[in-house]
Amino acid sequence: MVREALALPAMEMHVGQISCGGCGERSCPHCAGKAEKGWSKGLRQLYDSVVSEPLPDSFAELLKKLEKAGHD
Amino acid sequence: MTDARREGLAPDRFKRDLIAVIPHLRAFARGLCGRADFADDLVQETMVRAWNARGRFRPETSMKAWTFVILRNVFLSEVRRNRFRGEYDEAAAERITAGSAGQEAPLHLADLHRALLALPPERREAVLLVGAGGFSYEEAAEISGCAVGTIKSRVARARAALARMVEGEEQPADGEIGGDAAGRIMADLAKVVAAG
Repeated sequence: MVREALALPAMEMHVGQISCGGCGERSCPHCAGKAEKGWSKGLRQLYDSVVSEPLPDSFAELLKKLEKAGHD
Repeated sequence: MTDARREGLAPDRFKRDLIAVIPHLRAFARGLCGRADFADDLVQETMVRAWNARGRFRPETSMKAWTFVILRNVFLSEVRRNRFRGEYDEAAAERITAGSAGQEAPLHLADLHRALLALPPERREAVLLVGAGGFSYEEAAEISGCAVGTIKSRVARARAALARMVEGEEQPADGEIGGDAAGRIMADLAKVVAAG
């Protein structure tokens, strides 16, 4: 079971062959005992929290600068 | 137009696609280097390099994967210059979590980020690409310029190390993680989510 878990792509949504889809529920026969689920989910949350941040203005400024330089 | 075609994407299209991947570049960079300010420096340097190399971008390929390769190179050159050794900014870590819509588990994520930063850079990168960035092992191998088997092994080692660090001393020495630990993490997460 551990081997199976390690072989899985980390994005559970891609894992069609597992009926629970990597639910992480303690009662689930596939996910029970996999403490990995907690931090594995946390890792995605860490990443997604940055993805959903509004972009600082400096990025728009940089793009403007790049574009201007590119057209000169 | 013929110039744009010969060079790949038209500038407007290139810019649009580049803008679309910035949030992902920031997330990858933050995961890699742990400091929001350094991470954004890395991303901006990446954007400059990407922009200057835009003639070499092949439109049929993934802008995300292409820019991740550049970001990775920028990061590794900074690592070689020792810029990130032992760097961890507690305040920035708090901001990551506190500023992110507020409903996630700040303590767990800060702990996790600290554990992530304790990994060797190539394992950190591998687990970020596959475990957070949504890349397949094959794509991650291409981004990292190594064999698929190498990526799988790095991800497996990173996962084992993260589980060990996040679980801390409560994890049994034989590496067997019991259901109680999983239940506890999920319960803690649920508690913080509910509180938020």
